[in-house]
Amino acid sequence: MLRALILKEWLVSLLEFRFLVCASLCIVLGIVSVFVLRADLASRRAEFTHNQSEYRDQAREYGSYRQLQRQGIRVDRPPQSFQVLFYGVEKTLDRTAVVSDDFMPGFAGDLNTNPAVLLFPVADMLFIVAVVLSLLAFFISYDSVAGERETGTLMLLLSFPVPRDLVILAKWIGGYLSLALPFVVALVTGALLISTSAEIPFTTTDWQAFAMAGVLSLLLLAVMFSIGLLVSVRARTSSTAILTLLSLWVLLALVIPNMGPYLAEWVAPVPDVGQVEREIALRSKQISDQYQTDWGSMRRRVRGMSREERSAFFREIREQRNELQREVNKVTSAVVRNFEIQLRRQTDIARQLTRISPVASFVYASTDVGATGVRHEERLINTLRNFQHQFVRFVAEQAGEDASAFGGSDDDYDIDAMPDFSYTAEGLSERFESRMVDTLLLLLFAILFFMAAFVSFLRSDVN
Amino acid sequence: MFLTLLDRELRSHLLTYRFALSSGLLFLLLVGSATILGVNYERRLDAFTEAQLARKQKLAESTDFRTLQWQGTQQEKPPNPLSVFTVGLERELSRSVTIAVREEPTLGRSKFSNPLYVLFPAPDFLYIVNIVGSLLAILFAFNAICGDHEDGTLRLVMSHPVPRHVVLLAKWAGGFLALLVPLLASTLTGLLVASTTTSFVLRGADTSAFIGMLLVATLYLSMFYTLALSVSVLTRRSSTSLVICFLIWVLWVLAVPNVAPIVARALVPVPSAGAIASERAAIRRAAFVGMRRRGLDRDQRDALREEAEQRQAKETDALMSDFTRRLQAQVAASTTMARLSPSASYVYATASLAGSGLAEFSAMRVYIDRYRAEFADALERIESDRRRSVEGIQDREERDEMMEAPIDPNDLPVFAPPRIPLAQIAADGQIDILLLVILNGTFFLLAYFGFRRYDLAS
Repeated sequence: MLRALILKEWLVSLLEFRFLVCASLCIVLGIVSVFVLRADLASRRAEFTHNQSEYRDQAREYGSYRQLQRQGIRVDRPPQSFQVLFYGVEKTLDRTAVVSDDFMPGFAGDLNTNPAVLLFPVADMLFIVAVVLSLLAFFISYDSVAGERETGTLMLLLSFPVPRDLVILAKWIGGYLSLALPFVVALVTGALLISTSAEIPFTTTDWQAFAMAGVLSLLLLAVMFSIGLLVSVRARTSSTAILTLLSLWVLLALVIPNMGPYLAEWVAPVPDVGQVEREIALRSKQISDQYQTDWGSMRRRVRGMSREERSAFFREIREQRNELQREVNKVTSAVVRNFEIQLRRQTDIARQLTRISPVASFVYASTDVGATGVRHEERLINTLRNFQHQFVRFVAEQAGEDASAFGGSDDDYDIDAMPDFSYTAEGLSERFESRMVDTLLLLLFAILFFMAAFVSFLRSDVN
Repeated sequence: MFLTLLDRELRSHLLTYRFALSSGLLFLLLVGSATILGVNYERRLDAFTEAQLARKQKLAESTDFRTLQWQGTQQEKPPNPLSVFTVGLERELSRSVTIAVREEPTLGRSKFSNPLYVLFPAPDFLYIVNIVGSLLAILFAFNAICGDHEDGTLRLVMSHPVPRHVVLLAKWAGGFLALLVPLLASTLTGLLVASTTTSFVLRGADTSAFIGMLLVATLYLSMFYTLALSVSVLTRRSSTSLVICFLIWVLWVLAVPNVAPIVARALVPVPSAGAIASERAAIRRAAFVGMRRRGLDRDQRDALREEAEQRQAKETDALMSDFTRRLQAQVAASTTMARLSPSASYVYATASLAGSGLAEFSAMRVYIDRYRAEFADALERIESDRRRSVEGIQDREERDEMMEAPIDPNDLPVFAPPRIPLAQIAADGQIDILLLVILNGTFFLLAYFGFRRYDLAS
């Protein structure tokens, strides 16, 4: 019986113009998006590899470890394989960092970039699911009950000996499939496009994340479809249903997630970036004032020294300078870490506030599962800082063997052994664990709204 | 006659659930967004004022004039009041810039520090009109004619002696007013709330720009409204009309503008900012490599430096002008491609009116270079003044002290990126406005001719 009803729902929607439009929109948009972002990722990766070797060549030209230590080495943001599906935070213009012995490194912006990308959201799979498909879910479900009630077919259907629970279950399954199947087609084509491209190294972990993201997307669509069905059951006419649903879509998909950071800033303000920078400057100045050296008198003292005395003296000064640098770095990292703790709290609050919208939960969950979200950003910065430690240690070890390292060039300057900046994303289980709440919320929403639609339909008046 | 019909249209709109719902939604969104972004603006304004004070104080206390030459100064643009309505590129433009004589200018961290700002677009007036407004415009008109045809009222109206074009015009005006008036009223309420509860004020050229933003929004909404009206004339059933309008809307608003910039980036590649910065550093090093030689006297050294500086300037200019040309080509490609959708035209026009558009971004780049030159000149002037004034003094310590004395913050040029004048914005935005006007006209004509030939019997 159920199968016959599902078949009926499915056939009815197949015959509709609306279904044709929605399905082709879903498939075409999905394929175009993966296709375009694939080209984008390929060029990003080529650029990254090229720049990295370029930066190394330049560091080779410095000729001395002192220069290397002071000027530092550039590091680009490594492109993420998953940005082909979820662009996430990779949209940022902060793309290059300079790692040297002073300051905590961070990726900085540059005015020499194309800002046109920033005026619009990127049409990645995330956007297509969260915005377009969630709208299509409403668009497919709005009249599934209300419309049949208006045309009278619902009464006809219920005059047969079919239980109501089967009718609503069939409506859910049939309608959901007519949305989910085109999406699965788009996903599979996307997967084919990714796997056939030589420039995109999708690992097993990436494919697992891909499958997980697919499940999350289907879950979101289930939530949205259930909401649509619920409204359709409760609304008197299908035009009321669509209006209500469109307003809901605007709130759930467009407004609530986007308001999050602004609301959180209101509830849990963090100090301004400039304020943090000023505090760092102030604290470092206090420290360096203690170490204040009088260059004039020093020059006079050096003039009277013998060669050995002079080199001992310079070594001492260098030691002092290093000591100072260490102190400053310690203070700087204390201030920055304190700021980051507050910022993380603000981000968490933004998440909590916006989780009433399943779309927001979906965005958090899928960007973190794909490692292009906030957690990835934090991890990337931490990796960059670790790289700084490695870099400083390397330079100190190399320069330590060479006593003349005070200006000039080193004869044995060789940076082939210098560590490379390498970033690996978090393990899949940690990623998933961190977004467990959001996944469970999606599941809960799906069940809740389906139950509500179910019960409403059982109790509804067919006339 | 027209007025009677208009009156009837308006009344029939005002009584619907659709009108109540959309007005409520627009009010909630527009007032809420202006309030929240107003608070954000206030915070940035406070931070800016504080930063200004701290900078002046630091300059006045600084005991080392040379540090200023080496480390430079941090400057930032005052926050843009119109960002309460259109954030645009404000996130990028409001960063602080470090300007030093011997280093390339670098951008500081974004003032919008929460990483979630990158993940989600700002829910501002621009965004609401662009997406929600256009969607509502479609909902207001998709069944204007075919709906009336379905329920028979159209035949009733036409049985009276009224010309068809008057009927169509009244339909157009009635529905559009029912959409536009709540939208404008809500925006103005938002403006009022933001100006009373936060330190946001609208003054001077910003007022005209704001009015311009409202006009462009009207034009954009009327475009979508007329589109839906023409579809409703050309189709027989309102469900078909809804699907067609909806398809066009998704492609125009959600698909084309969001895909185009990425496509352009892939089609017209430019070197990344990091590559350019490292190339500039390489040029600098290569130019000054001759300076390292020992055993040069002062004059030789000065001559070498002069030569090196010239070579560096020449090569950097060549590199940058080539790069800028290619970058502009890329930006032009993405805007041209995005303009396949009127939504992109709307966003470009509004963002540049608000002073946070693409033109502002490249103007900022030019301004920073200019400011850096002014800054270097000012420092050079101060140094030579001081050198002249210490000429007679024999005591070395005293001379050093005078040379290194703190400077008067007012001696430095003021960092104030100029607002692009409205006339210029209007001239640059001509294409976008023109596109919107043309689409408006096309759809209206389509609706008009379609309605004249409309078969009431079928």
